[in-house]
Formats: sequence, C-alpha cells, structure tokens
Amino acid sequence: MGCSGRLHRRREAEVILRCLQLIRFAAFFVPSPLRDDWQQEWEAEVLHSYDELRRPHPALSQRERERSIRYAEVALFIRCLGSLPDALWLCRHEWRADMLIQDVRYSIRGLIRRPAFTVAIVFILALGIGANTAVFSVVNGVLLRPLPFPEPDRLVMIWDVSPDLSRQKDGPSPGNMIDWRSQNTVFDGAAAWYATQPKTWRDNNDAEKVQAAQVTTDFFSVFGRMPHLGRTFEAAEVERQDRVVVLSYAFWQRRFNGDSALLGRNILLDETPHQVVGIMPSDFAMPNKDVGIWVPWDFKKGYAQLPVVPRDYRFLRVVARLKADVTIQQAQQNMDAISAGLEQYPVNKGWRTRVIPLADEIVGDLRAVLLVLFGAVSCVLLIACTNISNLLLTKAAGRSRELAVRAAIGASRFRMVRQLLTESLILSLAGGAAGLTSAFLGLRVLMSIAPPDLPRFDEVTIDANVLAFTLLISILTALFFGFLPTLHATRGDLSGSLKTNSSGTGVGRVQRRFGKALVIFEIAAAFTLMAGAGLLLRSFLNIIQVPKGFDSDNVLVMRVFPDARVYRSGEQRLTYFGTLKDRLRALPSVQTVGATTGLPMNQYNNAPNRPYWRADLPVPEGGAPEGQLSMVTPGYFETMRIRMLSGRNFDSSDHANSQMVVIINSTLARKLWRDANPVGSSLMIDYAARGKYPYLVVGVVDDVRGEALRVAPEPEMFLAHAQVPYATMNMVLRTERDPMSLANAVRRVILELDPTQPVYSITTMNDLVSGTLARERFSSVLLAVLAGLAAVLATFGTYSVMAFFVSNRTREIGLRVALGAETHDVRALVLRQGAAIAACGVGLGFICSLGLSWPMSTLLFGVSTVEPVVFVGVPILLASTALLASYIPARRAMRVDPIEALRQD
Amino acid sequence: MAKTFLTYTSALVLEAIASGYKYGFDVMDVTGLPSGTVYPAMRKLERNGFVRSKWEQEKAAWRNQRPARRYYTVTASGAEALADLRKRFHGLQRAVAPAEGS
Repeated sequence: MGCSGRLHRRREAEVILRCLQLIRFAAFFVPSPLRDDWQQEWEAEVLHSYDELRRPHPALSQRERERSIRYAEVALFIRCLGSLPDALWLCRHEWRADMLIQDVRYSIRGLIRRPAFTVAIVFILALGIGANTAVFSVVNGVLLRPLPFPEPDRLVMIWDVSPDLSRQKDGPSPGNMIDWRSQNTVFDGAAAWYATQPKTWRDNNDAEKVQAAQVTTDFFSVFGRMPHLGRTFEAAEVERQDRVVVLSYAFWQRRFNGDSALLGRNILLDETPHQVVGIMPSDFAMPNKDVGIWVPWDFKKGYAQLPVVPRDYRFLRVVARLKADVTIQQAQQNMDAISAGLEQYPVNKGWRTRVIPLADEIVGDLRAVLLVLFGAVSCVLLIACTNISNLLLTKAAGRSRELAVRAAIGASRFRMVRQLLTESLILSLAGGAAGLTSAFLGLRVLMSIAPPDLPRFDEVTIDANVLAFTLLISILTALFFGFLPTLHATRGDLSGSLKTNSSGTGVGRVQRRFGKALVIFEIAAAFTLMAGAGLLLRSFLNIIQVPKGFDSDNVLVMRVFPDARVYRSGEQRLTYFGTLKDRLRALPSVQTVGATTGLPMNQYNNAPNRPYWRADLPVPEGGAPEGQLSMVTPGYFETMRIRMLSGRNFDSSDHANSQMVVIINSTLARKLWRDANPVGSSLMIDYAARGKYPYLVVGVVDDVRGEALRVAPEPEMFLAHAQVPYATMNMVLRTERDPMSLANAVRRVILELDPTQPVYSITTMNDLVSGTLARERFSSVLLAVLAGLAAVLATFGTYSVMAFFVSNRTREIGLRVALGAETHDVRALVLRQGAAIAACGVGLGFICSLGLSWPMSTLLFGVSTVEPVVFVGVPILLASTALLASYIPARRAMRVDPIEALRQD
Repeated sequence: MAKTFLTYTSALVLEAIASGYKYGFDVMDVTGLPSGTVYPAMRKLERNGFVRSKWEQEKAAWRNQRPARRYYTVTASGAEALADLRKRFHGLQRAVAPAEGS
C-alpha cells in the first residue's frame, strides 16, 4: 500500500469532510428546534455508510476494491446533496410557527429577566399609545365616521350672507326659501326647520317642557331617514293642519317606556291633543339631540299664500340634498344665480347665499381643535418612541457582547435582527394592550371635561376602527423604536465587542451620539408642544379676562313662558310676570329680580336681529344695519349689574300708553351718534309684524358680551317689557348666597302661580358663562396635559442619555481624576454635555414652534403666535429641567473612584 | 381517519419501511430513489403519523464510533394506509425485496 494508501486515506478523509460540510451548510436552513437532531441523523447515516464502504470484501481484488470504493464515495457525496432539498423542505413546512414561537419565547424570557426596563417601556408606551388612541377615537367619532344619513356627502346647508352688513350666516327668509325651492336645478329636495319654543307635555301626573322643532313635510325624506315606528308627516294632513307629531326615540323611551301602542294615540302638548304618527330612530338627532318632538310646518299656508311673502325675517334653517351628480361648486353657482335674481326685492340687496356641506356645519370649528390635539398627541407618542429607542439603545450597548457571542456560535445577522425586532414588537403590543386600557380611562376623562354641546360626542366609542388604529400604531411604534437600535446593535464588527468589555468605547461612542440626537429631537418636540399649550393657555386667560359687561356671580336664571294662548293679552302677561317678580323677590336672600327675552351666553337666546336707523336721517343706502332686539323689565340691568352709562333705566312711567322708549348699548350709540349723547334722540326700529316706529332713546348701557366672551359685542336695543309684553322670558335673580340653593324654592313659587306652566332650565349665570368657555377650556387643558407629559418624557430622556454617558465613560472619568481633575471639573464635563444637548433641542424646538402659527391661528384669541411670555418661559423651563436631569448623573460622575474605575478592565 | 393522498413515491418509501428497511439510506438503497426525494417523503409520512422515528441505542452507536442513527417504523395507521395503497398501486409489494432478518 505504502504511499498510495496514505494518499487514499487522505482522500477518503477529504470526502467525508466534504460530506459533513455539506450537511452543516444545509443544516442552516433547518428550523433551529429541529436542527441538532436533523444534523445528527444525516451525519450518522453518512458515517455509517462510510464504515460500510470501507468494510473489507474478500471476493474482490485490491484494484477492484479501490474502484468500487471510489464509486461509493462519489455516490455518498451525491447522496449528501440530498440533504439540501430535505433541509429546504423542512424549512418550508416547519419554519414559521416554530421559529416565531422560539423567537417570541426567547424575547419574553429576556424581557422578564429585566423587569424594571420592561415595565418602564410598557408604561411609557401605554401613556403614548393610550393618549393617542383616546384622541383618535374622538377624531374617529366626530370627524371620520360618516353622519347617520344615507349618502351624507350630498347633504348641504344653505345660508344667507351679506358681506356689506358683515352677516356671515343668516337663516334665509321664508320668501327666499320658497323661490330657492322652485328655481333651483341642483337639489333633490330642500327642507326647512325652526327650533320653536319648547312645548309643555303633560299627562295626569306630570308635566315637562320638551324641545320642539317645526319642520317642513319633506324634512325627514331630505335627510333620508325612515322612522323607527309609524310614519312621518303627509302633505295632505299638513295642509289640513291636523295636529300630528313625530317623537324622538329618547322622549318616547323616557315618557312612554317605548310603548308602541302610542302610535295613533293623542298626547297633550300645550294643553292641545296631538296625534303621534311616528317615532324616529335613536341616532336621528336633527337639528340637535335635545329635540323631543317634531311638528309639521305648513309652509304653503304659512307663507307662500300670503299676499306679501315675508323676505326680511331671516330665521330658517335649510338643509338640501344635492342631486346625485352635482358638486358643491355647481350648487353654489346655481344658488348664486338665483340670489342675484332675488335682489329685485330691496331687502335682498347685497345678500348672497352660501352652500356648506352638512358635515362641516355639524363639526364646525371643532375640526381645527381636534386636528391640533391629534398632532399634539402624535408628537407625544413620537417622544415616547424616541425615549424607548434610547432605552433600547442603551441596553443594546450592554447586549453587544451577548449578540457577539450569538453571532460567533452561528446566528446570522438576519436572525438577530429578527430577534431584536420581535422583542420590540412584543414590547409595543404589550404597550398597545396597556394603552388600550389607558385609552378607556383617558376617553372617560376626555368625555367628562368635554363641553356638553360638542357635536356627535355621544357617538364616540372605542370601535373596530379604533382597535385597528391601536394595532397599527403599536406595530409602527415597534418598527420605529426597534429599528434604529437593531440596525445599530448588529452593525459592524461584532467580534470587536467580544474582545473589549462592556464599557468599551467603540460601540458606545456611536450610540451616545445617536442617543443625543434622539434627545435633542425629544426636547424640540416637547418645546413645540409646550409652546402650543402656552399659547392656548395665554389665549384662554385673555378670554376670561375680557370684561363681560355684567356681573355673573350669584345670579340664578331660568326660563319662564306661560302659554301664549292662555295668557293672550298684554295685561294678563304683565300681571303674571308682575306677580311672579313680587313673589320671587319675597324669597329669602333674593336681592333683585329682572326678566329679559334675550339672555347673554345662552344658546336659546331669543333676541332677533332687526334693522334700525336714526329717525332724523333717511334709511341708509343698501339697507339698514341690524341689531339685537330684546324686551327687558326694569330690574334686569340692576340684577345683572349692567352699567347705565347715561340717561335712565325703564321705570313705571313706561307703560302701554306712554311714549315708546328704547335703551341702547354703547356700541350702537357710538355707531349712530359717535361721541354725541343719544339720550333724547329718536331711533327707528323695524320690528317686523309690529311695523316701523320711532322709539325715544332714554338710556345708554354698557356693552355686554352676548354670544361668548371671545365674540365682540354687537349693537343692542332694549325695549320695555311693559310696552312690548312678551310671554317668553328669562328670569334673573340676584341672590346673597349660592344661587342654586334657591332653585327648589323658585320652582315652587312658579308652580304655585300656575301649575300648568313648569319651569325650564334653571341654572346660574356663571354656569352659562363657563359653558361658552368649555371648548377653550377643553383644548387648553388637554394640550397642557399633553405638553406636561412631553416635558416629563423629555426630561426622562435627557436623564437616561446622561446616565449612559457617565456609565460609559467611567474609565475615562477615573483617568481624568487620577490625572488630577477636580470633582467640579468632572461635574462641569457632564453638565456641559447636558447643556449642549438642551441648547440644541431648545434651538430646534424654537424653529419648529414658529411653524405653529398656521395650525393654531384659528384657536387663539388676543395672542400673537410669537408670544414673548411663551417663547421666553418655555425655553427656560425646558433647559433648566434638562440641566437638572443631567445633574444626577453628574453627581454620580463626581463620586467615581479612579482606582475602581481603572481596575474595571 | 381522514385519508391522506400519498404519491407512489411516498407509498414506495412506506412499503420499504414496512419491509424492515429502517434507516433513510437503506430505504434509498432498496428503492433506488434519490436522497432528496426519500427524506422529504419520510418527513411527510412522519407528519401524517404513518411512521414513527426513534434513535437507536447509544451503545450500538458507541461500538461503531459514530453518532446514533435514527430509525423509522410503521405505525398502526401507517399499516392501515399501506393496505389501501397496495390496492391502489399494484405490484407495490413486489417492488421492495424483504430486508434480511425481517
């Protein structure tokens, strides 16, 4: 054998080596739980075959034997090639479930091993995702979910506008409405409604004032909703003026326990029997959710057949359904043409129409609020992600050894990336689940501080959309915060980190730089949010400091309206209110009592806009301006403490037979008489049905904010109730102690006076004022909370990055101390780093928040978007918290023992 | 039991295992099928519960100075399936010569 035998043996060894190499390569594709067994199976077979083929065969010659061995070797190698398809088959059929489970199990084990770290991350995520989900469910409910009508995009509202008289949105007059209906070519239908005075419902035991809406026959069909039970109004019965009503689902449930036998029966409204013909579904809330009764409106008899169709009393609300292929623009053009034609009537001079999608109308200015909130809350989530990214990055430095070990024993980079991403995903799903819980709580908090009149707010829930959204942001969050550290951890020379120990500077430096960039971003984002919140708060303070023009403390208000058909004559009404005033005045702690038709800060303000002009001058070209007209008793100004600027209050000398008098507010006085004193002059008021008369101006009162604090006062005229005895009044009582404590006594007095006339909405003036502020309060409180959250997260981020900085450079610090650095040098070194980060973040944030002016401008009141208080205060606050956050690590750095630090290697 | 559709190849592998060829390479030898076909077929059979695999005694492996081999045996449901397969593929039984000592 000799030389050739040795050669042969070497070749044999080479073959078996090749075979085993091949198997090891193929094993890479086998799912890891199966891998060891698989490899052993193949190796055992190969080694066994190898033994077999070397078994001596006495029948063969040496030469033949060598040849057959060579063949067998080739065959064995070819057979080993089969391991590859086998491995791939396993890879395809066994991979997914097993691998994933293994990754997941590994990740969970790792996360459990670091409980503090895991809990911190899940907590931060729960805050971020929870806040985001809560706000998204509001955005979803209010903005995204379609209105509960078929093809809601085709519904529009139509308004009268007059740029000359600066009237943005007036309801059209019946005359114009009738012409729109007959002339337009773009609508499938146009319906009108009018929120009438509440009606008194009564049965044998109880009575209640119910909000009612008077609607044209096609009202329900324009919205496209069928009744829950029964039917809606029919043209014939409306023309016959049958007394029929449709009830809201809520009223039907509340008062009749959802009894379907009610259909066709009569109920007593304002002491008159009305037949119930239908019940609307529970989600039909037009014009608003308080409406309990719809009554038909005979538009034809009421207006169209009058000798002169009224055109100057603009009070309707009109909704129309666009024809299927008509756009808003086309409808607007059509309406423009019609209103140009209607200018033939002098009262229509300068009036145009505006077509606005119903969805915009309902949501209104809430869109801006919600979008700003959503932006803010996304910013918080982004900061939270950044923080977590940072934490993971810090951790990744500690784990670089672990990863290097895993790489050395054969884990592929793909495998490790997958592993780390799985970990992020598990974290963020846990965060998402926790976030959902906090979203439920957050939503409850949101709902409790939300203004009650927010449109569609009762439709806000956590639904499938919201759940999908939470899942999506959880996954996106995982990608965002997992991606950077992962890329980082698996990049570059891993064997390098095997050699150095965990405090090695190579990997650390890059991570530090990256971590710093993240914190700079966090501070900038927090800055932007805080600046936004600061602007809103400043604006809120501005609003509540606006002089109201009256004193809202200790004022009880309520609506009282004796049935106009029972109290038919002026004397009856004056007697009723006179007696009521005396009896209320007699209650303990009541100081003064007054009454008005138009109460400020009240959504049911019943003060129509009427044209006025100076009696000594002709009617102005292009129509007279309009001002709010209300009827008040002498006690009104006194009770509300509205200042009398000149002239006198109403008194007993003003009665039905005396000279008609008016008190005007200072805006109107300035407008018509400039600086001259108008008392003693004469003012013409066109008071619709009552006609145009001159009224003697007897007094001027201070301006009152009527609609809301942020709305500038309008011209106002007050007539004496004694001369124009209205039946619908708001009573105002000034009390010595908490006004609400008198509510029951007041209710009793009113019921004693006339048991058929229940009181309606007793509240305090302060509540009415704060109700008009609810939106501002809602958005500024929420934004402030979010900004606070952002600031806390950013501070935490700064702390963690500085702590990492110190622990990473312990050796260097030790060296410096050993070389003679003083402790304050060390502290300065750390603080300098912190200060640099804070400065960069604040600078970047400053630039970002300059961009706030655009989205926020509609929400601000009396604040420039570059408010100095905000733009000086926020940077100081943020920079100091950032420095404070680096102070703790700095102190730790000061205590570094050089000997310990240097020995660490 | 739900009938699993088996190819002729799988049937042949099952027949070989039933005939006493317990190891993967032996099955290849007797059926003449390539390794890239036999092993996936065996994996499928195992997943379907027709065959069961076990590791041979460590002692035997130790004696031959190699790792323990994995051997396959037919389960009860495998035997049942094989009876069906023999009806479907005529001559299946004849395609595999019985192993020594079985």
